[in-house]
Amino acid sequence: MAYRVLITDDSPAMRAFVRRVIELSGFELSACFEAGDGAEALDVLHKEWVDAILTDINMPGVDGEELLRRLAADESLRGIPAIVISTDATQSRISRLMALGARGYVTKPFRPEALRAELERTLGVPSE
Amino acid sequence: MEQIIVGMADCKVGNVPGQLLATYALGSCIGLSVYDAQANVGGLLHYMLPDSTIDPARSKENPYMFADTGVPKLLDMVCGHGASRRRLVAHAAGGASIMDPKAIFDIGKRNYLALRKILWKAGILLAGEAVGGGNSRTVRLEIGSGRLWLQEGGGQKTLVPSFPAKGANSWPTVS
Amino acid sequence: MNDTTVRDALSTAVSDVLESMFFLEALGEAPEPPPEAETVTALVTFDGDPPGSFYMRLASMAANSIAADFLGEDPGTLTEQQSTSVTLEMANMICGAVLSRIESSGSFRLGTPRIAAWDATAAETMQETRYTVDTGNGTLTVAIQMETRTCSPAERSAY
Repeated sequence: MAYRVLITDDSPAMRAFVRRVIELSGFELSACFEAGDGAEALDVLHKEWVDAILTDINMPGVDGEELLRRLAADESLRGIPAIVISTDATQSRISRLMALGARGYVTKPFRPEALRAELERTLGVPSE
Repeated sequence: MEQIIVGMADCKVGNVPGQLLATYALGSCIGLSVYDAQANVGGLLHYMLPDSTIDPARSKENPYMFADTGVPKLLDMVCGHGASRRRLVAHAAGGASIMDPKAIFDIGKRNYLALRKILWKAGILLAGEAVGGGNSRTVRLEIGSGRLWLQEGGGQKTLVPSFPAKGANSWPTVS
Repeated sequence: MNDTTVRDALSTAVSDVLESMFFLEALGEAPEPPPEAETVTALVTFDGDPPGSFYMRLASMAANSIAADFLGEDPGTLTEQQSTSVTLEMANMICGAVLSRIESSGSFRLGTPRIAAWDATAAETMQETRYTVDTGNGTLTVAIQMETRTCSPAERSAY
């Protein structure tokens, strides 16, 4: 099975790193969209179907928390699993984001294997 | 069952079911095991130091002494026997902190970090690991079943059951 | 907030970030490089309790090899943009990790990291803490400046 994902982070380096982790975890990607902030992410999502969204929180413009809020409010988008990858490790933030519908949370800095575990938890172990 | 011993600064590959690759006395050294369940090919490397640039002449004599020369050779060897890099399942053991008052650096930790960097660059994530701490370890890899055993501080456990069982191994999974 | 707490937070944050994402060990404290040394500096300003600025100064040679390793790319084909992006993200992560440990109210906002000149000369109203480590490829200096206050909210609430 091939996956379509959207990676949202204002750092091109982090987007590239996350993409590499997804691929090395065994998830074959038929499409990998990238966005620099929440507004760009929503633009993509209104045009393309994705199986998963990975998003940072601290971004200029529409941040990750606002993105999750808008996804939750949009019937056509709220079912898409989202994993948050953020430097913010505070319990209050994590609880808020999970309540907004985030399916997974990875704190930066993270080991690639931690993201893999979260991907497998959210999407299942990738099939051959 | 043919037992193939992997010594210190050594590396062996097996492609005959029933072969058992084994390495002992993994203290600050790292034992890296890789296995391709489809091709039934596996390899075990036991290296001692992270970086060959400190002694390039030595690494030409024996690339398995160092992580940066040993790991690529292990990968080449298993792939040469029909393994596919994408299908390799990798486990690491060792990297213990050996208490040595003269040691300034924690060689075990440096060996472990070197491994993670090299595997990341080679496009391989660890499926499981048993590293750090103060115990010496022994690792055995069985070709055919892909079973992996770890012996540590007097106890022994089967870490990887027979394939196929992707994601179901009982090594402390890396996270 | 005393300097030791901040220093500890800096050194722990640096080690955590270097080890988990960059496969490097902080090889012990090192002297700060001279002003003319070839380095690249990233600046992250933050709102929080208290607000302030975070600087990360990295030896240029280290920046390139670290970026190549992070992206899984060959150092020879790495672009300056790629190298800069990795440096900025490293600063972002270290800053976030430090603030998670010291911000008393637990909520802070990081600004977008940017490349800046090395000028970690704190104003009078700011408390500054610095720390330099050897990464194995060159030195890394981190400095955090925060507005001083007589008593942190955490200390206040203890009464």
